[in-house]
Amino acid sequence: MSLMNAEQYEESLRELNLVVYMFGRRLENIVDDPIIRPSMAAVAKTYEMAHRPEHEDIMTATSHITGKKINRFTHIHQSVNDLVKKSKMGRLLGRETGCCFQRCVGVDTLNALSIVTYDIDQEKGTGYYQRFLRYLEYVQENDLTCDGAMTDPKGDRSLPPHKQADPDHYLHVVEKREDGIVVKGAKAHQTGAVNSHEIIVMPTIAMREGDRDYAVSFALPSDADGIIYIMGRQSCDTRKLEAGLLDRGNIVFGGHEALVVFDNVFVPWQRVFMCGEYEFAGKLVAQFAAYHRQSYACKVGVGDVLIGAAQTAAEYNNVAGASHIKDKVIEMNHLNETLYCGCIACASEGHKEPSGTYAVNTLLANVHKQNVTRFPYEMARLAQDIAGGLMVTMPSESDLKAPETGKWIEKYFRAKNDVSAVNRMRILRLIENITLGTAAVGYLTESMHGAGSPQAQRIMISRLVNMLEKQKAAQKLCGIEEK
Amino acid sequence: MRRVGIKYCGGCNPDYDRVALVEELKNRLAGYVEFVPYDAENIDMVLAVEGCQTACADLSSVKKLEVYIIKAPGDAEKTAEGLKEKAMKAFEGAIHFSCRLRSSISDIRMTPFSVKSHLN
Ligand SMILES: Cc1cc2nc3c(=O)[nH]c(=O)nc-3n(C[C@H](O)[C@H](O)[C@H](O)COP(=O)(O)OP(=O)(O)OC[C@H]3O[C@@H](n4cnc5c(N)ncnc54)[C@H](O)[C@@H]3O)c2cc1C
Repeated sequence: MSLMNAEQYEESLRELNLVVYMFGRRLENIVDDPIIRPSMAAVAKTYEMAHRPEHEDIMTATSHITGKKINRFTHIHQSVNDLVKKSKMGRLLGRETGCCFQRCVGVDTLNALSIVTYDIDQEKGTGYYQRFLRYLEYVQENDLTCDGAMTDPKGDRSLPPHKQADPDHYLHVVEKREDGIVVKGAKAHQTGAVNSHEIIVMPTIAMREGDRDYAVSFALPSDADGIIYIMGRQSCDTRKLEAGLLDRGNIVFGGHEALVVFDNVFVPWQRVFMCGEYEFAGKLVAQFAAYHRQSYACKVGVGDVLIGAAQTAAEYNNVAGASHIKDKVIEMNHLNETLYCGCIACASEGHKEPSGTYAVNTLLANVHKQNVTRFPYEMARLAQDIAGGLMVTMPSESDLKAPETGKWIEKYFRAKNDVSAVNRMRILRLIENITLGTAAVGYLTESMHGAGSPQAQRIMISRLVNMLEKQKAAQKLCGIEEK
Repeated sequence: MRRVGIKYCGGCNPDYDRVALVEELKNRLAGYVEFVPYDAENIDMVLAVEGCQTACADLSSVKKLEVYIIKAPGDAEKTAEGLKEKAMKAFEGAIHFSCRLRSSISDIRMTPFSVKSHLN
């Protein structure tokens, strides 16, 4: 079944036996939990759209190992065109769901591992790459969703892993056996973790010899013994428990993150892709980060939704023709399309790695992500300006429906005469959702910290620009001849 | 009846509703052209439905076939006529049939497609 559909995906999740806690209780039924279900629906969209003729050109690819048609989220990029299609897929799905659809982190992990396992083998004579390819075939054949687990809790940020007061603040190997390894630690902020079939762990920083036990990468079924999920809260999350849909803003989709604890978990050798090769930890982090910074193409799609919502709100207020409103909408579009330029550029300037996998241009991917840490915030500010204060002061859907209050809300929250109060409330709730509700986790704070905080990109930019060439160009033009 | 395989681009940021336009085309050409997926058996030609001027649909698997390309709603009229002409040629000799086709081509011209590009 190399292409699951949405229903099959949902059923496959029901077969998992995950240990998930939320609000202090273990969840019995994860798939139908009202807080989690919208995030499952967003991942399901990645399966559904792969079957639609009008989207399959982006959503599917041909496996380089089996020649079969597969979901692009399990594909190893074989050309620049594949990289470009990945960026386009991000925009498409961001616009379809208006939130984080969670599946990009897995494909980025697979691609980074396809490069680095090969490189380790070349230098160390290990057999990771073939092992990885066997695992990849399993993922592709079963069309699995993979959680890419990089970020450790990290404890004291100024100390390397092996010097932490609590040795588990970075995930590490605690035992090596003939049949595999035992690991302990945790991964924080895991996007889509409980919607995943597999969890693929990578180190989170470059490492030195003392960190050898922390230089570990492996994959496990998400319900392996000893893995515990503690769901993260999102602002306004409990609105999903209320009757009615209006106050959610996005009435269909959402995202989620979780803290994933590995409490002495056994990993068989055939699922281990790095174990002690600390010299390659930094390379794996950098490769993953470059792909994942490209993946913030999704914010362009969510930006499309936000722009559409802001324009609609302006039309409902009958101010869309005002010059300052038009200018603000133009500015939102300018920022959004600038983001699009970045994710297309880093893909178009991609190159082939020794393993055969195509990688994005790392400098441009970092520049793109740096813009992502800023532009969505400015777009959110402009959308809130256009929306007006009602976005945060309007009563609930229950008040709208109650006979005593509904008549007043209908009367006083109608703006342009031919627009109902309820539709005005709907569009304002959507803007609220994206800019300060559940979806703001993805649109704003994830834009800031996901795939690395802003400073991580600035360090990469300073490392990757060719400063000498720039100086030479300047000096030549003004007649400086000294070497 | 000519079998036309439909191949869409991925639709990342289309300028118009590609699916609605194809529906209109299907209605117009009903009885003359059969639209099928591009990877169906025995197709005579391909209609590539591109959402914008970038036209990035992967046509490598249909290289040997004649390909009609729509990049904007404005291309639909000409495409409809072209496909009808092809259908007509395929039935050359069947005078009665071709008369019927000719009259319906002029019908097509009189009713413009309703799908619009946001660029119009
Ligand atoms: C919504 C969301 C989804 C995410 N999804 C995933 C996921 O699916 N998988 C995954 O692995 N990770 C995920 N992440 C994690 C993300 O990669 C991290 O948030 C990011 O790397 C920053 O780490 P942190 O949150 O621990 O921030 P911190 O490390 O606490 O950083 C806070 C600030 O301190 C600065 N700082 C940190 N360390 C140092 C230092 N040594 N010296 C100087 N300054 C320092 C940072 O630059 C930043 O300004 C997600 C994050 C978010 C917010």
